[in-house]
Amino acid sequence: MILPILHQALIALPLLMGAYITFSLLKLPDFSIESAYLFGAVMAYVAGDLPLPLIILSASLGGAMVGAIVSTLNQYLKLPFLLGAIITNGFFHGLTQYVLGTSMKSFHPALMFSEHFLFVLVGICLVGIVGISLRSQLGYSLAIYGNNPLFFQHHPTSGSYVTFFGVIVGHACAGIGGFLFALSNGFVDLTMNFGVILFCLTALILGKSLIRTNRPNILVPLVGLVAYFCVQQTLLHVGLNLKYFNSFQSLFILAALFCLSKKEKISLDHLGV
Amino acid sequence: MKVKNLSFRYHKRAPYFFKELSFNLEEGLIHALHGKNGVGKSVLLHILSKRIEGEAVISGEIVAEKSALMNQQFDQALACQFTFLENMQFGCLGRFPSPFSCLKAPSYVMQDHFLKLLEKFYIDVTIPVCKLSGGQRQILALLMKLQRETKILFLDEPTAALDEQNATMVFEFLKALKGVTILVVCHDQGLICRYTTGRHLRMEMDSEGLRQLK
Repeated sequence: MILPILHQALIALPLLMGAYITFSLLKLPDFSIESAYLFGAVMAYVAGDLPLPLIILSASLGGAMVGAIVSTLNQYLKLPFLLGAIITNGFFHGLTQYVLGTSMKSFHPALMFSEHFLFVLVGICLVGIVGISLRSQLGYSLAIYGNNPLFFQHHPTSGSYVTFFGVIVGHACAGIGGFLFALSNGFVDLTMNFGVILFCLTALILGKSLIRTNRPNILVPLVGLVAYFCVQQTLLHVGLNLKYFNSFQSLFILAALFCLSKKEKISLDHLGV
Repeated sequence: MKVKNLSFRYHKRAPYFFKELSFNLEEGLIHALHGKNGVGKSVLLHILSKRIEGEAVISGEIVAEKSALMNQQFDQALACQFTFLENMQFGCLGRFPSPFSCLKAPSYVMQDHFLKLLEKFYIDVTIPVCKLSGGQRQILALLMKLQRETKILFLDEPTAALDEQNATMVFEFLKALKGVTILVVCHDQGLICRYTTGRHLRMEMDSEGLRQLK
């Protein structure tokens, strides 16, 4: 039971890191992370014949491209973030279909080492880089933005820079997550991003319940991720049919938020994370 | 601070809002700006602190050191889930915060003279800002501005959202500041009379809608 949990957690780790930055720290209704996840996989597919580091770079650039577009819509065209994310999702759905040609493509890039080793390597690198960044001035700035976006209007710090940087890095992580998922499954699929947001919210709420902190902390997504897959594997072992799992997640989020708000007497923000 | 022949219009074809206003504010004192609601006190503070944008037409001369404007919505300038000390650290962030450097050290942001001031107002710098009183939060917002070597403070009804005790605390804090020139708009005449050490400027509107200072 432990190995499947670790295996799945490592695949989903980059995605959840990205979601932690945009959902939990910046507190943005970042539905475009779905597109970043898918487009990261698509860009990895396009770069499939290149050496592995370039495939990973392409995946992160694919995700970052989605992040750059949604941030531009929000910061320069002044669209509300949710609307910008919906428009971006629509645009990248069409772009993905155009690049792939069909709704599914086989994906088997040449690796220098085993998949598992790659997952561990990517996980360690990301935890290191994101973990250090979260303790930096920029990491705290992301959390300040989530706490009070108006803060930057009263101080010289550029709120646009903070949003751009956070969203682009978050989406780049999600793009790498999409690549790892596609690599693990052996195909890139137009519907592989369905349910991604529900997964992120569930895991982040779990992480927030277990690690009580308002400060940027890498442990929140890490612990949330492991807890999520522990719950999932336990439920599978007791016989829950996987097709009902999304419904279960929704109910789980409701129950967790209800308990949290009752116990802590806190008012929930718009994402609950 | 010296203001000479300051004129202002909202746009090229608009009538003059102010015309050739001139006044001086002596350094290190608390000056008061009086006037009815809507007469243009906030507009003047925005112009003096150079926060007017758009098509506005401004002429004249403003000779002033580094200034900052603070209004009654001081909570907008704070990150309330973080501590007083952390907010002071956030106040030192540059325009583009680095992903590689840490926040400034607490000893750097809490200089001795700030610490002495805070002791006087019983402010615990280690608890989240949302648990402080309104007056203490206003003091934090002002300290964050003063960290940047601000020499002139324009305060637009800084105590409007505070009760009497907290409003007095804020004015006691302003009185304790050394070397900072303050121009304050406040409708509480008792506080203004007690704490103003400099000039009392009064803004009035004439029959043609032109604002004048007396």
